[in-house]
Amino acid sequence: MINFDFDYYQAENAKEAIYKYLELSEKNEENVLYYNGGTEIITYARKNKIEFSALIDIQNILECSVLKNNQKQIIIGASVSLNMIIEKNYFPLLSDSCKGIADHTTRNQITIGGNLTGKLPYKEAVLPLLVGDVELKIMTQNGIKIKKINQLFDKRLQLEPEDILLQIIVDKNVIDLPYVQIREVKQSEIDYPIMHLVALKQNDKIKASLSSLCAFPFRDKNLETIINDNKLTRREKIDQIVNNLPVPISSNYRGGKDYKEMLFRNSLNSCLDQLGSGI
Amino acid sequence: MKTYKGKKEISLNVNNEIYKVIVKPNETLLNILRDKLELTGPKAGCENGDCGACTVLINDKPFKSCIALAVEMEGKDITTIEGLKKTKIQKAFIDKEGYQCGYCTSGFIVNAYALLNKYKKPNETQIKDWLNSNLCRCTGYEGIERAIKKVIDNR
Repeated sequence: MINFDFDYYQAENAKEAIYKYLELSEKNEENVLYYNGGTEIITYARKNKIEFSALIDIQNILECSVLKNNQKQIIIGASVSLNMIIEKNYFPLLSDSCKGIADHTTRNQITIGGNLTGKLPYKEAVLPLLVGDVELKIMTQNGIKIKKINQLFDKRLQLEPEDILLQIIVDKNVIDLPYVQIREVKQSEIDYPIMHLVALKQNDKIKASLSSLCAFPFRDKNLETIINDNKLTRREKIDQIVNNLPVPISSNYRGGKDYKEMLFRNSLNSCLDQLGSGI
Repeated sequence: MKTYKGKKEISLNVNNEIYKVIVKPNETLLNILRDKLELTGPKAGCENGDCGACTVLINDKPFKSCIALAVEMEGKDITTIEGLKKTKIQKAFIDKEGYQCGYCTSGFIVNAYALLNKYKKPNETQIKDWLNSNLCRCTGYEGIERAIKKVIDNR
C-alpha cells in the first residue's frame, strides 16, 4: 500500500494522455506522472521518496505496445517489457544489455520506456540505443516528432514534462554489427552495476557508451575520437580516455573511484581486444 | 479514459473466479489479494520487488504483486498459489524438501510453475535466470533446485 492517495487514469491513446496531463498539471498544479510499468514509481512512493496526485497509465496506448521487425527497421514500443525484448532478440546488443537489469520476474514488468525515462541514474537500456543512433518517436502537445536519441539524451532524455515517448526506431543496419557489452557488479548478479560499457563497431569505427562509471550515462564523441585514433598505442588510448572523461568517475558503496577506474581500464582493454582497434 | 478516484468497485479474475472488490488506486495487488480476497498464499516479504515472496501469475507470466497496482489488473488473469492444485511442481517441492520455513515457498512454486510451463526442459541458465528472482532467507536453494529438476527429469 502506498501511504498517500492519488488518482489513476488509464489512457487509450497518446493525445488524451497528454491532454489529461496538461489539464491536471495546469489547472490544479497537481504533480502528475506517466505510469509505464510502475516498478520505480511504486517502490519510490512506498518509501516516500516521491509524491504525486495522479498517475496516467500509458501502457494501453497502441503505439506503445508494438514490437515489430520490419524490413528496414525494428520498432519497439515504449511499453514493451524488457523480457519481451530479450526473448524476441531483434537487436542482440539491446537484449544483452537488458539481461542485467533487475531480475527475470521484475523484467516482465519493467518497460523500456520506463527504464529510459525513470529517475534512476543507470538507464542501462539507453546504452545500445546511443551507440545504435536510434530514433525516438515522441508525442508532444503539438503532435508527433521523430528525433535522434543523440539529440535528445543529455544525462537523461530531454523531453517536456507532458511529452510521451511512444517508440524506439532501430535501423536494421546496426543490429548485426560486432559489439562488446561488459557489465560489472559488486557481488550479486542482481544489482545495479559498478560499470556498464557498451561498444559497437560500424564502418571500422568504435562507438561506445557508459553507465554507472560516472553520475549519469553518456556517449561522448571525444572519447570515440581517441579510441579510433590509430596513431595512438593501446596504452595511450586508455590513458587519454580515462583522463578525458566528460565527468569525473563517481565513488559509491558499490565501488570507489580507483576501483572503478581499474575496471574501466580492463573493460576498455577487452573492448579493444574484441573489436580489433588499436595496438 | 478509465478514471479511478478514491474507492471504486472493480472486477478481478483470480484463479478463474471473478471477484468484485472495492479498491483505491494506492492499493497494491498484494494488499487486495491478501486483505480483501483472503488469498494469503502470496506473502508480503520485502514489499519492494526484491524477494519474490509475493509472486503471482498475470496472464501466465510471473509478476511481483507488491509492485503492481490493483487498479491495473482489470481484464487480466491472475493466478496465485491457491489456483495451483496438485501440480507436479508442488509435489516435487514436498518430495525433494524444497522448503525450510516455508515463507518464500509459494513465490518459488508459482515462478517455477511458470518456468516449467514455458519450457519443457529448461536449461541451467534459464532455471538460474528465472529463480534468481526469488530469495530464500533460509538458503534452502538446493532442495528447490532438486524439485525443479525432478519435474524436468520426469518429462
